[in-house]
This record gives sequence, C-alpha cells and structure tokens, in this order.
Amino acid sequence: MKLFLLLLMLVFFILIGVCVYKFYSVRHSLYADMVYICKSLKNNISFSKDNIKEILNSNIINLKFTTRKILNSLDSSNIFLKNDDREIIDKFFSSLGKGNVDYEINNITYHENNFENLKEQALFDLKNKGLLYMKLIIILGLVFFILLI
Amino acid sequence: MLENILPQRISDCINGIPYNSICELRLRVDEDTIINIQGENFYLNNNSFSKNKIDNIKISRAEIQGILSRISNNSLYTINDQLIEGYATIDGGIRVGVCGDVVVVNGEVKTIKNISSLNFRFPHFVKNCSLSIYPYIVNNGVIKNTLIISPPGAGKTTYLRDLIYQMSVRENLLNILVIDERNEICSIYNGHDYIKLSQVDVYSNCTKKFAFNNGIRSMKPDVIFTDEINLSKDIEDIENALSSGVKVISTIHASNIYDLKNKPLFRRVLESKMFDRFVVLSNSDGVGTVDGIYNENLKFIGV
Repeated sequence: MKLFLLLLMLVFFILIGVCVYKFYSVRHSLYADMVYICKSLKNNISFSKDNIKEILNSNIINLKFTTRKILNSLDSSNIFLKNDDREIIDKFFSSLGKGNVDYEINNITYHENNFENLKEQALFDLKNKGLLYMKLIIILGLVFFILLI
Repeated sequence: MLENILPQRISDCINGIPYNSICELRLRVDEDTIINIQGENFYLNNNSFSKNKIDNIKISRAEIQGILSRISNNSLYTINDQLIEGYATIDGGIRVGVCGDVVVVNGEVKTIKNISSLNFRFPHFVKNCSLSIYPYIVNNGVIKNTLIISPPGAGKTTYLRDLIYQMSVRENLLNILVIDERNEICSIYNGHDYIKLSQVDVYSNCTKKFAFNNGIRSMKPDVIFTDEINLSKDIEDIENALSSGVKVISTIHASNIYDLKNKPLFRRVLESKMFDRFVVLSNSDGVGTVDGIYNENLKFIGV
C-alpha cells in the first residue's frame, strides 16, 4: 500500500514536470504556427486575394491542436497564454484586412518578424527553462520517493 | 443580402419597400439617408420614407466604415481594385459608389480613405424593355453596330442588359461577349451571375482595353456589348474590333444627340460610320423613354 502511494506520488511529480515542459512547448508551437499563418496569408493575398476568413479556414487544419484551441478561445483565460502573448496575437488579427495589398503584405511581414523573434525566444525558454524545470521536478519526485521508501 | 451589410435600422426600413421599385440608396456621413424609388428621391425615416426633412435616419462615419468592412468581408484589399475606381460590387449585382479622400502616391491612386458617402445602385432586369428598338438593331439576323445615348439614370444599362438577353435567346448560336467593367451589366459576384444569360461570355472587373484585345483573340465573339464608352479612351479599341468583323453595341453618357454632336471625337465616329444605329434615351416620359432612333448619318428613322 505504501509502495503504491509512493509510486502514485512519483507519477504525480512526473506529470507536473511534463506539464511545465508542455507550457513552454505549447508557447513555442503557437509562435511557430503564427509564423506559418503569416506566410500563408502573404502568399494567398498576393496571388488570389481571398478574404481573411477563407484563408484562415483553409489553413486551420495545418495548425497544431493546441494552437487551434488557443486561437478559438483567445477571449477567455488560458494557462498557456500570457497576457502579453494574448495582446500580441489580438493586435495581429485586429490589424488584418484594413488596407490594400501592399499594406497587408507590409503589415503581415512586420508581425511575422515579431512572431519569429518570439518563436526563437520560446525555443530558448523551452530548451533551457522547460527542460531544466521538468528534470528538477522529476528528480525531486525521485528524491522524495527514495527518502520515503 | 442587404441585411448583412446595412445597419439594422436601415435594412428594416428597406424591407418594407418592394425591392423592384428601389433604384438607389444614398448614405452620407451625418446626413439624412435618401432612397430613390422609381426615379423619385425620398428621405428614409424610422417608419418608411417621405419628402419631409424631419426625424430621418442619419448615418455615422463609423457605420459607413462598418458597411465597407462587411462588403469586403473584413478584407479591404479584396475590393481595393474596385475602390480606386470609385465603387464596390456586392451580391445581387448591387454596385456601391464610394466617395472619400483619394490617396495618391507618385501619381497613382492607391486607395480611398475617410469614406464619407456611399451610393447603392440596384440593378433591375426589365425583361423585354428593349423590344421596341430591337428590330432596328437586329434585322434578318444582321446586327447593326449600335450606340445607345442617354443621360445618367435614364435606363441605358437596363436596355443593354435586355438587349443582351433578347439577342442570346433569339439569335441562335451567336457568340456574345460582354465587357462588364464595373460588374453592372451581368452582375457577376464571386463567379455567380445574378442575371442568368445563356450563350454569353463575360469579362468582369477589367478594363475595356484588356477585354477588347484578349476577348477578340480568345473568345471569337460575333458581337461585343459594353457599357459607358469614353470617346477619348475606347475609340481605338472599338475601331480594332470593327475591323476584325465584330459587331459592337455600346452606351455613352450624353444628355442628347446634339450634345454629342458638338464633341470633336464624336465627329470622327460619325465620319468613319462606326455605328449604324444611334438610340437616344431620356427620362422625359419616365425612365427608359426612347426619344429617337437614328441611322449612321444621324437621320431619324423611328421611335
């Protein structure tokens, strides 16, 4: 019984560690997908000038599941989305469809560069903080397991 | 379709008016909304329409911007090519004239901003309205090059539309090409034509030069229909079409034929006998009144 509980505790620590890692990886995926959305918008607007809704609907299937969930619930709170992230993404979507083709391309390029920087930053955080925290939490779990066993 | 574009209080008001009788709807920032019903202007108020300048519906700049966003599906770039020509087309073949600040960069019109007026023009297909002039234009299968002369709002596009319809049903296996520069004649929106015409090829949202040059080469038309020619810009393209053996039926803005006769470019049209028929329309006895039909020498031949 005691062993079972300790194993449960260990699994709990592992799950927490994975969640923390997930937090950082979701953010990286989000910005990688935003970069993809920007490229897709630019290509489509330059060539066939479909409207924003059509372009996004046709590309949504190529986005990661977590990104789709986040974008669908941009108004509500989300543990994976910081306030700054929400504001940046909101600003991007609000700026779309307001001008001619040149304006759109320039505007999307500006935001694409922003998202690229944020993606790089998120990848750095993932590789450093994400991995580190995950390992620390799992090790902590193992230490407790060994001490209590 | 208008419920999705206009503010609700305006669309509720219009819903009470028979659609076929509405010719125009004018929206101006902070001014009374005006509706043209069967050629007559009225103010639009909360109940209906009237000639009184009291309690009429006014529209704000933000509402006009909202209308434009909805027209473009929140993607202004999709209609910018039309905007710089001063209009936008919506479902149902409705053409929306746009007025505002024109943005010019290096002599090129880039867009229109701060839009202050919108004019919704409603197309109507008045079947058989051109039958009175049809025998003068098509006789025993021979089509005459025709110029329909009329002031704005006298029904020349409606006549042209019906002429295309009549020719497409009466003249078997005829190749008809329509140059619908502003999407008014056949009213094609997103690939769907509002007015069903058969045996008709349509170039929409393009310049007459492009359509004349490419259309003759690729579509091999027997007759080309086009609206509102400009004597200084389009005369060469029409001459090329005629020299290729293609018939041309077109319209031109002028209050009457004497007004046109004074223009030097029109004298060139007369001297070269480009057109075999001139049909003059006016509003003298209601929209679409045929004032006269003239031959290539401007001799009156019928009404």
